[in-house]
Order: sequence, then structure tokens, then C-alpha cells
Amino acid sequence: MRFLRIWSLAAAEMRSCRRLARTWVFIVIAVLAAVGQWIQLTVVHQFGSSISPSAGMFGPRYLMAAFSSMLVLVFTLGILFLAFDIRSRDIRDRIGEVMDSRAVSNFELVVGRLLGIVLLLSIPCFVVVLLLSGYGVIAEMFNLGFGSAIEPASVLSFLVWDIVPNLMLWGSITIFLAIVLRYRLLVVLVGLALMIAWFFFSVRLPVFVAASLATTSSGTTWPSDLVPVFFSTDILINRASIVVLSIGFLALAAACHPRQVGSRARMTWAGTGVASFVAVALSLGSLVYSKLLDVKKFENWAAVHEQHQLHSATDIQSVRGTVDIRPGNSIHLDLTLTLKSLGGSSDDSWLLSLNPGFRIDELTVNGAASSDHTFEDGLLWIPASRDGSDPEVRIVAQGKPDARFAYLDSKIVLSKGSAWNTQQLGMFGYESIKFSPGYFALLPGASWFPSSGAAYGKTDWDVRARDFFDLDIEVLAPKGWIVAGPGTREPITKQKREGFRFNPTAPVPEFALIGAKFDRRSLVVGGIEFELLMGKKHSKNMEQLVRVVPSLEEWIEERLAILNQSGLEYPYGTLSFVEVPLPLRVYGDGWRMGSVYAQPGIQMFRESGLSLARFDGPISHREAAQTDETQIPKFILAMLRRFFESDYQGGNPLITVGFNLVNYQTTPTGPGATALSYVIDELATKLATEGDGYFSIYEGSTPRGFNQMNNATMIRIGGGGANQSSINFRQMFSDRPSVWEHVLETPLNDIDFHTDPGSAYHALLLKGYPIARSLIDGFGEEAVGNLLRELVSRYSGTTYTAEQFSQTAVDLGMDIESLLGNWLSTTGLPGFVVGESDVVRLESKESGESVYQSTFLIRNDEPVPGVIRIGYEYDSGDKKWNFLDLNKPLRVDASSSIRIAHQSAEPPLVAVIEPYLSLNRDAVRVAFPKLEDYEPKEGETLPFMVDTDWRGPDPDSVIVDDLDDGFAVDKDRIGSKEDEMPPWLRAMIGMPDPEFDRGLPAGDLGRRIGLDFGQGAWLRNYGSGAFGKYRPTYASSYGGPEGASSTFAAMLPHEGTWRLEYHLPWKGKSEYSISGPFFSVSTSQRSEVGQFQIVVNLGDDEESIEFDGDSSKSGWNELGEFDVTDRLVDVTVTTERWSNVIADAVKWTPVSSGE
Amino acid sequence: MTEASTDSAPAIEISGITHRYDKKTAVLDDVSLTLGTGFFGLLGANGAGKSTLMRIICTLLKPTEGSARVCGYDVVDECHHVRERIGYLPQSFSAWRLHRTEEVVDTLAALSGMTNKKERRKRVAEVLEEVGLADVADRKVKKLSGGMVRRLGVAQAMVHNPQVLVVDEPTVGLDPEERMRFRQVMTNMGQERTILLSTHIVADLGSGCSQIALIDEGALAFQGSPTALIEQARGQVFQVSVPLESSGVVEEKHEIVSRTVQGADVEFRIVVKNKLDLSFDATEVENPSLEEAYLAFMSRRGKVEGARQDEIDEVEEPKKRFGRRRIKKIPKTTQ
Repeated sequence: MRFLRIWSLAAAEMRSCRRLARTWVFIVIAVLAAVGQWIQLTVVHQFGSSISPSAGMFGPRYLMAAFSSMLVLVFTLGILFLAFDIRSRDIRDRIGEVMDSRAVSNFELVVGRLLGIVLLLSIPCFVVVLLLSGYGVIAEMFNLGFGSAIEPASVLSFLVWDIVPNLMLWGSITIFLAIVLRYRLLVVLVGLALMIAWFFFSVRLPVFVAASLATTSSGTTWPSDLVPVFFSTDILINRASIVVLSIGFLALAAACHPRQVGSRARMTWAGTGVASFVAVALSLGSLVYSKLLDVKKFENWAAVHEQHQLHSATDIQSVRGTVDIRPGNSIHLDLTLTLKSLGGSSDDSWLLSLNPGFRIDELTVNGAASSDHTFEDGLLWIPASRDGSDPEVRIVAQGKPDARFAYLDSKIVLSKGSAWNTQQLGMFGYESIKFSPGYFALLPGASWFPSSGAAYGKTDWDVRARDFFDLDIEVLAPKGWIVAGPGTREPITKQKREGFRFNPTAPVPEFALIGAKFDRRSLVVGGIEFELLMGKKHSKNMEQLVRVVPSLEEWIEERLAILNQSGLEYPYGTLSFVEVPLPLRVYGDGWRMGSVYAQPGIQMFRESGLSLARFDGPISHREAAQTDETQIPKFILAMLRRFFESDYQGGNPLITVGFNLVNYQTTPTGPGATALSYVIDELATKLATEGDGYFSIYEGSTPRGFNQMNNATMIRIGGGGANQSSINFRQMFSDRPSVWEHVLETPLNDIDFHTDPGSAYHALLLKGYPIARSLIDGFGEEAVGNLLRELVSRYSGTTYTAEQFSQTAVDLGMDIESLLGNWLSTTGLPGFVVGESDVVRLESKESGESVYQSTFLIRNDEPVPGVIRIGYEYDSGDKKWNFLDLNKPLRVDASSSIRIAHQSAEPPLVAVIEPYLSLNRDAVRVAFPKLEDYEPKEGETLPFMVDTDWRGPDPDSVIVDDLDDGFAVDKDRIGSKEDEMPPWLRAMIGMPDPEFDRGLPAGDLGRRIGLDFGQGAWLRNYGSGAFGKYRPTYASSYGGPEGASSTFAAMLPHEGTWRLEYHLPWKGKSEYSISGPFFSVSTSQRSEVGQFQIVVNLGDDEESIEFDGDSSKSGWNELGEFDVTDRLVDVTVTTERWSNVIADAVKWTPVSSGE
Repeated sequence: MTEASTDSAPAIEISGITHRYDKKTAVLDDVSLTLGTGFFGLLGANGAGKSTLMRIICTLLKPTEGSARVCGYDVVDECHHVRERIGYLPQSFSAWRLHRTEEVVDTLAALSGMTNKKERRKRVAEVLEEVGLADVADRKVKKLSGGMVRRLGVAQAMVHNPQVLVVDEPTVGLDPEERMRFRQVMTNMGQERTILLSTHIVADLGSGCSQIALIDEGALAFQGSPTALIEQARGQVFQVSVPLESSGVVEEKHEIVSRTVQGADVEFRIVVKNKLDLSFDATEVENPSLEEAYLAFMSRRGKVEGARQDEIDEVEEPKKRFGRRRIKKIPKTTQ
């Protein structure tokens, strides 16, 4: 190979391509696409990053993660369209023979030309990326307010490892095709087909294979400022293989070149090509095989640990000693564990789990060296002595924790999923620990310190008690480093090393250590130190946020006061907010796979969120609008709270800080422990932070769920962060018909969290969250705080059962069962119906002023007590909600009725009853009559609430509603999920999964398009005006090609004359909406009731009625009186094809008894 | 850049070359030829097999049978060495349309091993000057005339001073002045290297041509000096003068080499296969030209129509190539 000749060819090729119009068309398109995407992502980050931390992942700083795949795709397409005629261009230009007669080998010929095209395409790519990077640097230097520098290692990595190898690979393939295929069109088609095939092939491979074969780093490597990644061994092997593969294709192209060459040369090139392919197969095969071994290793560990998951005899009481951390190199453990004697346990050994990356150098039991312990697959078995004393086990070990040994019982394993299915999961991080020379984050999921039992099933608290221990360790780290750990960090003087002691006063079940040369800020409020540890590159935001301190202090003091009133305390002295790199895995293991970013004394946040969010925009905007300087800190605090609430990636401190108060010190065990633990966490969180939020890897890792959350976030960003309700992921995912049916069928303590953990979690959310709110609102914050404090006091360092929880509450005078019934082990819920409402104007005898007294009736028609809150809406310009007695909701006994009377200065329009958790599922609105003239009347002021004997509306009537068992539709008109909008389309635009409500598809726009208009299937509709004992719903069908029919069947209590009425919902507009990541469309549809036939079947007799829905009124419409001789009656509603029909409810009211 | 051969091997040595594009037709049939230093002309009618032979010599085509060596290297097995030593101008030559003239020559010079950029630049300038393209060195190929493109072809073939220069129909499309200049360039270059020039226009060979090979239907029909070919033509070339009104009779019965109107008479130079064929008084030409010798030779082989057709093709070809250009017909009379 002679480089100068190759270079001449390359230069000629560049010259040729540079002067082709298509080159410039392509480059302009590519540059516009790149800049366009940069602008789009930067704009979204600019306006969205202060609203949700999740928006930060795709901000300009970590742009390459989102950007590089698109660029590689565009430029590889470019090389296909530039190289496809590389041979035929010579022939067309009639220089082919001259070239062929030149003293250049075929291989030099193809290499030179590939080099030319690769260079030509690389240059604009380099230029555009470097310009964007350069602009970002300038924007940061001069505070231009738009854009920021791209993380440099990711830029360099992209240019070196992504763009060039990909251009080489696809360029060489294209040249090979151009040589062997006669027709240019065929070259393009085959090239495109190969690209598409490769794409589909690679995204459908398991991640561990795809990551080895992937030709780009995006998706497998996240950029990071804290731990910049330029390359990894895998990337090196992969890209070297790609280069060799390119050489192979070029050698084959040289061998197949039609130019005459000696047979020996041709054979040499062919041999080189084949050898290259073999070498690539071997290298990539080895890489894949090593990953396969990783997976097998993981599975083996998981299987071994699963066998011993129920071993709960080992109880670590305390851990003390030294942890010497040499980042990137090794950890030296010298720990002494005090274990609890096995006592009467049948086990003859203590079982600890420890990362198999460690080597145990020394193990002593009560000072005597142990020779018969075993340490294999991360299981450390220590033969137990039976002397009844609590032994001290000293473990001296060293090694580098094996990151593969982590989260062994995860329900979802990233590496096993396909790249396509896990592209969202990958965004939640993929490294269980971080242990690099510049940063370490040692999370307990990787068992980097000895913990009791197997590293499997540790969160199955229903069957395995959580182990708590006292901790007193010294941590050694490199000079200048700061280490965050479980609580307060006491510096220890050490030469050449930083030393810290962690000795929390409260026990811990696990702990994390995170260290680096952080930039540190701290704040002490109420004796608790709050420290912020961030990478030094990320401290710029702190200059903005430091202004929040006065308001933050005030808010923390307020929350601490509430906690202190009940004696509940933060136990670890210091709470460290620590910045962690993007690749660090957010989710943990077990069925829940919840966020691991909250550890005792530590709250982690991803470097893409708080650190880089553009708070400057909203703050300066506020400053411009707000003249009162003192309001700015409050504004920043409110902004930060909303910001964290919108984090659906597990870094919301508002929901996890509460874990420190109770669950890290004592956790429920036994039946119902999971549900109870959730409620306790919610209670602690509400008390500590009033926080709200949502994190579920089951939703966040699916395209549908991810896009739903993305939509909600985008809508919120579009609304400037004002539309808070749209971001309520909890409601979005849990308040669904399928979840309700789950909750109504299965008590919380019987929920199977392992078979379908995602659904189980939503059932827990749906029921557990309002239960927690009911408790706080029902008993008050102080009482709930007392309860939590008492739990900690009684069971700190150990566990408690549901019964012990109830008993603790009873001991404190809190009768939870009378408030909520047996919420843990039964499915019963209250259900509220409302009766007659009225408003009168009363003359006040005392002041002479008049007041408006509104009254209405409420009945809890279920045998379970319930809790409600009531608010009123007034006609005072803007609609105003005014919840009465917000913190003291009303308790309504089972099967009882009350009358509510309320006096107000203005006549109320509507009373809104908010049941926390009831069969109503939603708020119930009671409309008051609007009088033309409120003449003052004499009357007495009624008490707010009194019991009544009201039996509910129409107690003598028999009503069959569309939700009742007596209602049925023709079965072939129900429709199925397959008939509807394709799942992939739903996923893409972020529409929820199709739901069935009591057997009928719950209507949304996607359904209406697919089922209603397309096939006329029956749908369940929701809306005011519809009848429903607890839920206003009605069924409807557009008739479809064959018409539709439904039946309301009833068993009347007696024979005789009955009046039959048919209910029509409000005949207004029905609104449907559909939204995607970047759009939201809503439509309103006039509810045309239509004309349909009603057949009343009275046993032997049958009557047919033509019902003109359009001329009928909303509400009950009388159909006539019927003599009933057979108590089993039914009403069938049918419609002709393509004609609307509405089936809401029928009511039979006795007129006379048949006797 | 290769220097002229100094070793003893013949510049081109062709031995029993036969080439078939299909099983039936042999484009070349057992051609053997040996060429040393100098300017060689390869004459033959269109389709005679000249270009095939040249493509074999230039390693572009593998012969079906036989062998060819250039500077001692086999064109099949040692093609790379051959390519190091040759310059080639194919019959149908153009260049990258979007490149400038200078860039084309420079690139091809570099590909031929001229790695010293300074020397290469100098040589490119020289050769462009030689072929008269110095003024359009910056012009893109697509803007060059047909003649300029041919000259560009010549420039690229000789830029690296190859030991063997193979030029196939180099003067197609050139105007007379350019042809003359081309002949001069070839003559000069032929003094120190081997030039194999294929043509069906005998005049292209000029005075510098030392050897001629005639190919007819794939077979080597003649190899020798132009003088020998002329010698063979003696007794076949005649001059006859007839009144203008009778000229048609001469044109009908004999092969006309040239036709000159002189007053009321027309003077013809004609080629006959046999003197007995003459139907009127004629004077034998004692020193036939090379062109007349070629026609006489072909006449003897009964191929004079083919030989004459080549001249017509020479006129027609530009028309085919540059469809809308006006083509001047060659007058049958030459002064």
C-alpha cells in the first residue's frame, strides 16, 4: 500500500464529490437536520429544564446521547448516495480504462476512494459538531442565555468512535456493492435494504448482544461530566472490528473488481476479505460471548441466591471498622460485624452476601481465625457457634466490586431485553455502581459491604424481615475528596488520605458511599445539616439557587416544627444531596424496582437535572415582573418543588426524604407489609415535605408510559409549568378502570406483587395514596407524626407487623378501622350518593345581614365507612373552590346518611364532594338550584352536619344502569383490543393502553376512531348528565354495519303496574382528546342521541316503542306504565345500522301493587 | 515516474495472441509482434482488432491464448509492473467532468508514481504546454472541446514519461493543426521510448514512424517499415487524367486515392490490384505515399473498401460523438 497514491485517489474522489450537486444537497440537509435538532433540544431544555429534571437528559450538555444516532444515520445514508456509483462514474466519465491502466492496485483504488468520501463527509460532520460545541462554550462564557457547551468527551468519542467507523463500514459496503452489482439502482436498493435490515436486526437483539455489535455509542453510553467516557474496552474492540470489517469489504471489492489483475493478487484480496470477516466474527463473537457469560454469571448468581432468599436467621446487629477506598482500583474492607446468635434457629451457619469481586483475606469469629467458612458466588457462609453469645465476625477483604453482581432479583433485566424494548429503560442508567478513578458511587444493591442473608428477595418484606444494624465505620478516600454516607461525616486526621467517620445514631438497613472532589454547599436548619455535593463543573446553577436559602430555611423550619411537634426526628444528622453521573442506575431490584437514589442520609440527583437546569430564565423573568425582592426566594422555592415533583426518573427528593424518618429505621414485615410500608412512606413524605411525585420503572421503561409522561411534561412545559395537574403521573397511571377492578377484587395484603408487579404497584398507588391522605387529613399531621414516632420508638432497628401497627395506633387513640374500615385485608369501599339540594336566603337575626344556606343529603350506601371533603363553587367571576375544613374531613359511617348545611355570603352554585377513596372514583358534584330572586326567608341556621334517615334516591324504584349486572350488549359488538388503534401507534403518540370498564371498551379518541366510527362497537362513556349510582357512565354505539342492541334486565320485587323511564345523559358536547409528544388535539362531538327502538319484554307480553332521543329531554323520560305479571323483565334497545344509540339506565317505579 | 527502459528485453513482445469475446469469433488470431524503442504504427480497419490488442498490452484485457510482455513483464501475471511502465490513451477517452484539466493530469501523474509534488507540478505544466492545454489548465473538463479532451488524453498518457506509450486512435477529433502538432510530439517522444499508435488514418503516422504493423481481421497482415510497405505497392498506384465529363467512369471502375481538377480535366491517383485491370491509359506512380501503399496493400487483400470506409468513419465519427456539431465532408480532391 502506497499512501501517496491512496491519498491522490482520495483527493480526486473528494474533488469529484465536492463538485457534485447531490453532495451539497445532502450536506445542507444533514447540517440543517443536525442544527434543527440541536435547536429543538436546546429550546426544550431552555424552557423545560426548569420544570422537570427529566427534560435535562436531552439538553445541550449531553446532546450527543440524543444526537449522535441521528447524525450517524444521516451521514451513513449520505455515504450510500455518494458511493453507490463510484465505479460507474468512471465509466460514464470515460476514464475507467485510464484508471485501470494506472499502477495502482485494486485495493489502493478502493481504499483511496473510500478515504476520499469518508473524509468529505466527516468534515461537515466534524464542523457542525465542533461549531455547536464552540457556540456552546461561547454561550456559557458570555452568558448568552441560549445553549451550552456539549460535554467534550462525548463529542470526541462521537467523532472518533462513531462517525468515522460508521462511514468506513457503510462506505466499504457500498463500494463493494458498487463493484459487484451492475446496476446503480440495485446498489442503492441493496445498500438501503442492508441498512434497514441491520437496524431491525440490531434493535431486536438482546441488549447484551446489541451493545457488543452496536456501531454507535449512543444508547449504550451516556455522557457524563462527573465521569467522562471517551472510550471503553468494548468500544475499542467493537470499533477495531468495524474497521477490520471495512477492510474486509474493501479487500473483497478489490478481489471482485472487474479490472484485470493477476490471479494471485485477486486471491490475496479475497483471502484478506475472508480473513477479515473471520477475524471480525471472532472478535465480536468473543465480545458477545463475554457478555453472554456475564448474563450467565448473573443468572447463576441469581439462582444461587434465590435458593437461600428465605434465610433470615442471620441478623447483623452492628458493623464497625474501616473502608479504605482507592477509586478505580480497589476497596479494602476491615469490618467487624456483631451478629445475633442463631439461638433456636435450625440453621447451622450465618449467611452473608458480599460482592464476589472481593477476596477475603482474613475472617475471624470472636478473634479466632475461621478456616471453614466458604465464600462463593457472593455467599459467605460462616459456621455458627452454639454458645448462645452474639459473635463478632471480623472480615478483612479487598477487591474491586463486580458491577455485574447487583440487583439479582430485578423483574426487568436490561441486558436481556431487546434494544428496541429497552431504549427507555436505558435512560434510567445501566451501571449498578460507579467506581472510577475520579468518582465512586457505592450503592448497596451491589453488596459491596457484607449484608445479612442472600442478595435476593431482600425487599420481599411480607416473607423476609428487613435487617437493620448500627453502623460505625471509618472511610478512607484520596486527598481532597469528600465522601457522602449515612449521615454526618466526622473528619479524621490521616496523612495522605482523607478520613471520615460515619456513626449514625439510628440504625440503617443499608447504606451508600459516594465520593469525589465535590463542590460543597451546606445549610444548617434545626440542627440538621443539609449539604449539597456537586461536580465542580456544575456549580454555576448554585449562584442562582443560593437566593432560595431564606425561603428554604423558612420552609424547612416549618416542616421540622410539624415533625418536632410529634417527636419525629431526622435521625442521621446530615442529609447529603449528592450529584451522580447519568449512567448510574436509578432503579433497584425486587418486585418494586423503586428508586435507589434515596439512601440513609443521602439523596442523589442526576447530573442532568438540578445541575444544568436553566433556572436563570424563569428567575429573571420573575425579577422583571416582580418588584418585591423578598418574593423571589419564595418563587424559587416553589419552582424547585414543582421541578422535583415533575421528576419521573426517580430523583424526586420530596418523596424519598421521608424514607429516612421511618422506613430506614423500622419496616413492616409479614402479610400486608409491602402495602403498609408504602402507606408509611407516604405518611412520612407528606409530613416531611408535603411532596408528591411518581416513579415506576414499569411505566417509565415502556415506550407508551415514557411517551405518556413525556407528553404530560411537554404539556406542562408548553404551559410554562403552570398546568400541574397534567403532570400528575400517579393519577394518570393508577386511576384506570383495570386498576380499579384489581383493587375491587383483591385486598392490598393479597396483591401478588411478583406476577404483574407493574399493575400491582398501580393498585397499591390507587388505594394506598388516598388511604395515607385520609389518615393525615382525618387524624391530623401531629397525630400521624405521633404514630410514626411511636413506631420508630417501639421498633427501631427491627420490624413490626400490620397488627402491631394497628395496635400502636389504637394505643395512641387512633381508631383507623372506624375511619377507613379494614383497608388492608378487605376490598370494600364506601360509595356515596347525594340527594335533594336547596339554597335559601336567611335573614340573620343578630346582624341583620342575610346569609345563603345551602343543604343537601349524602348517603354512604356501602357497608364500609368512608371519608369525604366538601367544597363549594360560587358564582363570583372566577370559579372558586373553597374546601371546608380541609384538614378534618367528614367521616360517613357505613350505610348511613347525613345532611350537610352550609351558610355563605354568596349563593353557591355547586357543592363538590371529594371522596378520598370510594366507589365513586371521582368527585361528586351537587348542583344547587339557581333562583332568580333570593327572597330572604325566616328560618333557622342549621348545623353543618346531622344524621338523617334518608334511604337514598328512589328507594322504591328498581334502576338498571349500564354498569349493573343486568345490563348486556350484543356480544359481537363489544370489540377487542385488536380492533383498535395499533399498539405501536398508541405507544408512539403516548396514548394509554386500551382499557375495558366493566367489560366494555372505555372510550377515548383512539377507540372512537377504531371502534365507534369503524365498527360501531359498544363503548363505555363518561360524563356529567349520565346516570350512575356512583359513577355517571353510559354505553353507546354508532350502530355499525349491522346495528346494535343492548338489554337492561331486572327482577322486580313484585308484580303489578310499573312505570318505566329511560335515562338520557346530558345532550351536550362530548370532548375527546389525544396527545403525542409534541402535540395535543382535542375534539368535541355533539351527542346525537338518535332514534332507536325500545322493546319492553314482560315475559309473555312484549311492547315495542319508537324512541326519538333527539326530541327527548336529558334525564328520565317516561316510556309508559306496564302491567307486570312476570317479575323478570327486560328492556332491549336496538338501533338500525349506522345509527347512534345510547344506553344509560332504565328505572322501574311501582305505580300499584298487583295484589 | 518511470525512465526509459535500459534493459535488453523488447519493449513489447507479443506472442501468438488470440482473443475471443465468444466461442465463435476470434477478434485476434495468433498475433505475434515484437517492438523495440521507437514509434510504431498499428494500422487496420475498424474492427480489425487493433484496440483489443492494445487493451491486452495495457493489461486491461486478458488474452484468450498467447502471451504478451511489456519491458519483459507478462501483461497478465505481472500486470502491475507493466502498468508502472506504460502510458495509455484509449480510443474513447474523457476525464472526470468536474475536475480541472490540471487536476486530472496531476492526479493521474500521482497515481503513476510521481510522488514528488514539486516535480509533478512542473511536469504537469510542461506536458500541458506540450499538448497546448496550458491556457485551459484551470478549465473544467466538461468545458473542454473534443479536441482538447483528446489532447488531455495525450497529456495524461505521457505525463509520467512512460517507457511504453500506447495510444489508440489519438487524433480522432483533432483539427489538422492539432494533428500536426501531435505527430511532432509523438516523433519526439519516440526517440527515447516505445510508442505504439493505433490508427486507421495513415497520415497520422507521419515521418517519425519507424515500423508499421497491419492488422486485418484479427491477424497480423504486415509488419515492417513504411518503406517496405511502399515498396510493395509499386506497380499498383497509378495516375490518370481524364476530361471532367468522363471522371465518373474512372470513379466507378477504380479505387480513387485522390482527385484533382485541373482545368477541364480531372487527375486521379488510383490503386489497382493488377495493372491489367486498368481500362484506360495511366501512368504508374513511382513513389507512392504511405497511404497509397496501405490502400494498395488492402486492395491486394480485397479489403480496400474497408480501408476507405475507415476514412469515411473518420469523418462520421465526430458526428456520432458530438451529434449536433456541423461536420465538414472531406473533399475527394486533395491538393
